Formats: sequence, C-alpha cells, structure tokens
Amino acid sequence: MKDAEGFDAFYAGTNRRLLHQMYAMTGNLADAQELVQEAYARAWQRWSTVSTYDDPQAWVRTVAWRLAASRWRRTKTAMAAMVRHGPPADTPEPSIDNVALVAALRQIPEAQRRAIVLHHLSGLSVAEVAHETHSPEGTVKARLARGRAALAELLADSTLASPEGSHV
Amino acid sequence: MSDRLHDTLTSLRSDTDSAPLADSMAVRARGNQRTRRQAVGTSLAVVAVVAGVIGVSGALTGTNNKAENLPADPTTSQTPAPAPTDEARPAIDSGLLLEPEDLPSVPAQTFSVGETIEDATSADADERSLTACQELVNPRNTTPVRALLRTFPSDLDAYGFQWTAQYDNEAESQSVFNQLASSCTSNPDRTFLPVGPDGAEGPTGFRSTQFSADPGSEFNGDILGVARRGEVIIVFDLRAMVKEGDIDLQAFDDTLLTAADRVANR
Repeated sequence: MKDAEGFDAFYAGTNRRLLHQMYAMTGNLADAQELVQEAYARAWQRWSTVSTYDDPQAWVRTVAWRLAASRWRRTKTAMAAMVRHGPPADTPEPSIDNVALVAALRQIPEAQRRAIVLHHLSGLSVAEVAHETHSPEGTVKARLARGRAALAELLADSTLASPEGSHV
Repeated sequence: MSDRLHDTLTSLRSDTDSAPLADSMAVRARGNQRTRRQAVGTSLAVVAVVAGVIGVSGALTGTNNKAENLPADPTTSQTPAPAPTDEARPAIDSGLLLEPEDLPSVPAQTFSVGETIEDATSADADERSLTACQELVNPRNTTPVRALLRTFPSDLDAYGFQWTAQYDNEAESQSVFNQLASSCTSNPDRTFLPVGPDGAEGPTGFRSTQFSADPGSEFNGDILGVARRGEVIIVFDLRAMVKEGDIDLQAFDDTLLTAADRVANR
C-alpha cells in the first residue's frame, strides 16, 4: 500500500521548485509543466521505493531531466496533439523581463545549462552536480564557467561572468 | 547564495509562480493509469517474443515447412548438423538465468529481478506474433521441452527479459535460430550483427537493434539478442527510453554470451 499522504506532502512541498528548475532548463513553461507532472506521476508509480531514498527530489529531478532530454522524440506527438486539441489554455505568457533570459538559456549547450541550473538554482555543490550528471568535477567546473560566460555575453551583462559568491 | 547568476535565474520564478500544476490526486491518477498501461505493454512484449520463437518452432515442425521459403540467413552456414543431444544433458533450470549484475548498464537505472520466474513452456502465444523482430506467424505445433522467462524491471523505464528454451535436439534449435535471424535481417527498421565466435554452424548469436523515434512509443530503444548453444535458445531483450549510444552494445553482447555460456556449461 503506497503512502498517498506522504506523496501528496512531497508533491506540494517540491513541485514549484522543480517547475522553476525545469523552466530554466527547457526555456518553455508549458514543457516544464508537462515534464514536472509526468516526473511526479512516475514517482508515484514507484513511491514505495522512491520514498525511502535519501533525496527523493533528486530522483524526480533526474527523471524530469531525462524526459526533457528525450522530448525531441515526442515532438511529433506533441504537434499532433496540438492539432487535435489546440495549445494548452492555462499556460501563462512569460513576463517580458524573462524572455531574454529564457532565450539566452536556450542558446547555451544543454550540458552547461544543466550544470548552471543544478548549481545556481537547485543549490547543489559542484560535487553533487558531478554525481547527478555522472561527470567529473573538473568537467562540471568547466561547464559552469563556460555557461556563465556565455550567458553574460548573450545578456550583455558582464556582472554575470564573475562568480561572486559562487562556490566554483 | 548571493550569486548574481542565482538572482537572475531566480527571477524566472515570477513566471512559474503563476503557472498552474495539477493537484496531487490528478498526478497520482496519472501514475496509476501509466502503471496499468505499462502492465499491458509489458505482457504483450514478453508474449510477443515467446510467440515469435514458438511460432518459428511450430512452423518448423508443421506439415508445411516454411523454413525453405524464408530469406537466407547470412549468419549461419549452409549445413546445420543435426545431432541428438538428449543423452545426459540436464534440463535447464533457474540457476542458469542471468542476474541483474550481468546486465549492461542503462544510465541512471538499476535493474532488479522480477518476482517470479515464469515457466513459459506452454505459454499461450496465439495471435501475438507482433514483436518488432519476429514477424513469423504461428502455427505452433510444438513447444520447447522447457522454457523459462525471467524479467528484469528497473527503477525507471528500462525493462529486460530473458527467455531460455530447451528443444528436443540441436537440429530443432538451430532451425529456430536461423529463422529468427532471417526475420530480423529482413526487417528494414532494424540493424543486425552477428555476436560471438563462429562455430561449425555459424555464429553463436546475433544482436538486432532498433532505436525508434516513434514519439508515441513507451520504449525508444530495443536491443534484442538471440544465442544458441546446443539445443538451447536464449532470447535476451532490453527496452528502455534510450537513444543509441546510451547503452554499451559490447556489454549487451557480453550479457548474451554469458547467458549462452551458462547453458553450455551446465
């Protein structure tokens, strides 16, 4: 018997954070909503196991990321669904201020974007990012530095380029 | 964290705070629905391979021997040598089957073993020859002497299964193997490679892969291996939401050959 109450509390306590992270990773709010809900649905399927993990949130985040990484495979289905049902009605437009940031995030390589989101938004240390992405720490550091520099250039904001207060 | 980049990224929250998410009950319902769908899909996949193999066996021993009409199999030599193998060969048992640690790794997923090992000797395989590889249609006039099916579920979407079937003699297992290979080579959507050392009757096995971009598919990658040792056929199939390159195919081959070696050494 799965613990629905425990799952509901976990979902309520973490879903916004994951949505935020997936939005930064995908640059598309509707995609992020769908990925988050699918990832939590999968967590519920295995909740008796996932709930025993030290960090169930990391599990859900990994699932959401893997789903995002394979979303190109589902593009045709998404387009077909769009034709059938029309676009989702309940996805708000991004704010004007965020459009440039989202666009910039989408322009940097996927690995750099993931490292940046995990480190700067999820608050993971370099070692934790390395563990979650199955990459050496040196590689993670390089991705963070390059991603930061690329974002600074794209946003014409030189203050982003220097890692003030960063752990890198 | 007072990092400027953190602050910039945090500003995205103004968008996500107003974005609706389903309530937890709806998410749980979605998970439950997914579980039901997967249960049906997995059953079909398992039965399909079993049906394919049994169908081949049936075709072989039926009144019309369809083997003669099938495309040539490049992996096997021309003259399979029928040899009785009944003497002193113990029946296959569950101790010969693969264990999770034998399986190739799939990123971020961990395999376990299914709760039961199914005796698939008399699997009800009618009307189910719908697997991606084996497209031969029954009749199934014969079944293997013994067949076992072990499944390997994982934390996420990867799923493996091993079907091990013992036939009456080597001639029968060789013919089944040949026809499985033929049906895989004739499927234009799959790539096909021989696996293992060549024996008098050709390679030990073959691997057939299909990495699908089918967006509606639950499984994006399917790696199927078939090996024969003596009178035993092994089918090992791995399905997962993976793209080509996510799985070490050499490791997959090693798994298949490990399965074959255990049968050979019994």
